[in-house]
Amino acid sequence: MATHSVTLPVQLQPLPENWEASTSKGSKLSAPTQVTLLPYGHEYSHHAARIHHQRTFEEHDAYLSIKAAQDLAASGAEVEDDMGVGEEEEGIELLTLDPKEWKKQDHYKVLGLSKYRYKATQDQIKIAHRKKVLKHHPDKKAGQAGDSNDDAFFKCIQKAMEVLSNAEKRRQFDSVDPYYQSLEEDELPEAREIKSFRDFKRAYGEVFEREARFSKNTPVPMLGEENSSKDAVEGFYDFWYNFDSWRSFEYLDKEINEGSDNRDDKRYTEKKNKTERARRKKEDTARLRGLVDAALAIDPRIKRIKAEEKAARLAKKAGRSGTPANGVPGSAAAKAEEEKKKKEEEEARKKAEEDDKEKKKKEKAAAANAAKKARRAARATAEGSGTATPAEPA
Amino acid sequence: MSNPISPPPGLVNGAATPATAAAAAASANEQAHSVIGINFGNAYASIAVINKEGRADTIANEDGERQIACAISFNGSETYVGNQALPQLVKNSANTILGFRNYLGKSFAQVGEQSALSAQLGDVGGVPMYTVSVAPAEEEGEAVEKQLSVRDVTALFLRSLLQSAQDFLSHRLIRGAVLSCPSDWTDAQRAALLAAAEDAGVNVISLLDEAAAAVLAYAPSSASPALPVAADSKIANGNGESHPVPADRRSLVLDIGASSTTTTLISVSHHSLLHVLHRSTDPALGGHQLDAVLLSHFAKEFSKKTGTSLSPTSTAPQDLRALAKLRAASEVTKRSLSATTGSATLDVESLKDGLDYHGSINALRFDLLARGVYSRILAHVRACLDEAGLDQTQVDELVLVGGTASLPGIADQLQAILPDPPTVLSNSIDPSNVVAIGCALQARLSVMHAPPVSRGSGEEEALLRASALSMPVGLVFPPSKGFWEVLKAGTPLPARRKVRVPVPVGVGRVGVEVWEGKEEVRVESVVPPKAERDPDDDEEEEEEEEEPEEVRTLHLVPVTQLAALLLPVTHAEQPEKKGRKAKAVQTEAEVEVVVGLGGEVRVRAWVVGAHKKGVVQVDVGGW
Repeated sequence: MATHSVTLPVQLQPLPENWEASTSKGSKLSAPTQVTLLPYGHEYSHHAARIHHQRTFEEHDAYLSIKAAQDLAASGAEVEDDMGVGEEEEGIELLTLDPKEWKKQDHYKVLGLSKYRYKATQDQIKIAHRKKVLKHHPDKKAGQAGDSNDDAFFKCIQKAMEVLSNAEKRRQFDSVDPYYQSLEEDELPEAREIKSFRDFKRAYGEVFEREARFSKNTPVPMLGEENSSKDAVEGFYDFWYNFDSWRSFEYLDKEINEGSDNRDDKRYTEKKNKTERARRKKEDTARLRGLVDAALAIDPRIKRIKAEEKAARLAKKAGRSGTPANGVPGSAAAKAEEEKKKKEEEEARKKAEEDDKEKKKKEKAAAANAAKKARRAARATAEGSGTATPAEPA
Repeated sequence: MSNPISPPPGLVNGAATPATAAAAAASANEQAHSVIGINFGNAYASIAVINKEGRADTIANEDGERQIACAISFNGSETYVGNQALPQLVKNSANTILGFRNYLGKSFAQVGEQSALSAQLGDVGGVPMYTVSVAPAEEEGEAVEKQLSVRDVTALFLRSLLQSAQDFLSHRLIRGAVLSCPSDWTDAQRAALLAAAEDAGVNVISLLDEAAAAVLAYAPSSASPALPVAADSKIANGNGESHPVPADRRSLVLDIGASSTTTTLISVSHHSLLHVLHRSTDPALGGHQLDAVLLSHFAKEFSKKTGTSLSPTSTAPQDLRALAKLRAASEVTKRSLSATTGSATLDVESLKDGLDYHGSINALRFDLLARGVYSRILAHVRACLDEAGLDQTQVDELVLVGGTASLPGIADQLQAILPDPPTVLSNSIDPSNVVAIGCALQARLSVMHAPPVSRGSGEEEALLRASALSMPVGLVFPPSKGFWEVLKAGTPLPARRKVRVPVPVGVGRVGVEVWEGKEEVRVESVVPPKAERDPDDDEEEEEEEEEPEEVRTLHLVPVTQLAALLLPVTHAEQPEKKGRKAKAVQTEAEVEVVVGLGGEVRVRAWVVGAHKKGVVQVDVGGW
């Protein structure tokens, strides 16, 4: 028996206050009529199974759902591996996309890969495309009733495949994937709302995971845990401040009018696109920087590390003055000392480098001077001999 | 759906390991493509198979015919089966056998009047036998008289059908077939058909009632027949078209065959639980009558055009031959008329005295000529409704079956008593194929999802004798008094139906009353609104008195209240979002009505999405 239900087109009115669910006692159905069923059809099979096994409707439902799952599992073993592409719902909005507006369409959604997006492999894209084509090819629709010559969605599919199968085009699309762009617009919670590391991670963890896809360098360090070491935390921020992004914005370029003979037009548009790209890229870099700034400002671990360092310094001070401070772990003091040592070493090295540079500079300048002198001497001899050499500007 | 349930009995031992289940599924799939459905009519037969897309479709035989004539002709050493045998009627009618199906399982005394056009049945000790002359195949010998029983002829014919199906399915082994048979056949006739099928090597899964086959052809079938289908969704039927009829309905199946017309009123529950309400057959009304109308029309035209008289009732040998030619041509013309709304032509070379005939007829003229036959068909349908005690408004669906039923004129005529809407006209599947398609779908069902009760067993007999609701059961949502039918009268028990009701914002309590109702046909006389007349118009038109028109409408009225329940509804709120205030969302209440075998009624209601929390239930005792 179907478990689906029919929706009645009832316009419900509010119930009168005094209405009660009064059950008139004793009223029963009229006596039944006797009929002879025909032993054919699906519903008869269900009817017979229910009566034969003495199942109630609910029991039969449960039996069917278990059986359906089994059948699915059984048939799943049959069909070839689709690399987890699966099926995605196709809403009316998707099916009525205009192929002329292909720049605005979500190519992953069109191919039914919206759960993978930039993570989809080329194999998955191929499989998804094949699936969609099998379903939406115009030849397939020709025989069906209704909109027969509607191959708009098929064109959308082909366009999506064209973009996603080409690495360069796909990179450009991934850069401006509308799904993530809408996520980027979501505002992050304000600093005062974040009270613990858990809040912080909840708010920023996903953001950094999302942004990580643009990195040229892998692996990309993630937020980490609450008790991550100082090195890890600093490494994280260091990486993200020097983030090397492949994100680019060619996808949003204005169409260059190829038909136009006017190359000035073309150049103008090209130039404009170029500046627009650069502007967007700059904006994006600023956006990411702002994000990292915000994260750094709120990150509870920074406070913790600073506190620890302070404690270590205090401990060291206390250690120098000869009275070990209470409660300050020796290791922290040692660490602080080590750090100081490191810093000094670093400074020394830097100084050495700088000295080195200076030295080199001087040498260079000396060499240049010598060359000049030599040239002048040569010129003087040339003038003396009276040959026509171009006069050197003063 | 509602309560946590322990695994039902029957599943525990039925549970298979994935590997064997996979094998079973594969073989079930394989089996579904190796069963066929055969519509074995008296004049024409057709074959349907399950195609690659899982839909049922009729196939063409090696001559390219989907409608295979039930005819066999012996000419010398040659045996013609199917449409190739038809031309033999002209010169070799004594050795051409037609319309043999209806003689299956009958003694000679029962045969009655035979058509004079083809080979005659002779009385051989009470058994009807055809006598034909057959020449031995090898050498040019004398033709030998050979006696064939109806069973032999049927077996010969069925074997050729099986061969066609095997050729189509690239010689795959055909595991079984569902054969159609008229519903009023006796056990002896059914046994004779089964015996003939056995002779032909056809493994008959079951015999299927023709009217039931037509209904089942329209029943939605999911990809996996084991799964139930949604009651409300317009799922593609066997041919992939959506079918907007309600799942519970009364269908009138009008089967206009070549020689007889059968009207069957069937109660349909959930698309495919069927029982016959009434059936009546007119054995002398059908496509042959229409052929005769065309024949006499063209014979008259021929006489007028050429001056050579050709009477449709003449029995002179040369006239008989001319009439046989003209009859065959008329049938072709009739078929082209049912495919177009324009005109159709008829061409016969050397019809009589070496004169050719070319004529044409348009649909309008044909409908005029066929009016007599049409009105007999209408009268037949009306009579059947009267005998069943049903009003025409109580029929929800009209299913057309048989090649003749695809004539556009017939559908138009039927609109007069069964207008669409409210009665849905189901003819989206070609009426000449619909029975074969229904048979093929039933064949697939039999191999993939057979009922757990063996055919012909005592248990099945008990199962088929079911109780059904005598009155409709429905819901009333106070304060309105409207009665919403949930279970139709005639629904076999036990039965369960669910309905959803949208609950608008602001309604916090929903009252549900369960009523038993009745169907009431109201007849009103409505004077059609007078058309605005031009004052300049002549006076004569005003003399015409507008006839009051009879308008029949079906009303469902509540009679006895069985129970009531109150469902409190809290509307879910959309979470507050930037710039938007929290807003209540319209929700839906679901009401489930279950009537058990003993007449006990259980009504449950809940808010959709939260039904696990607050189910309101009320029970009514049985009879």
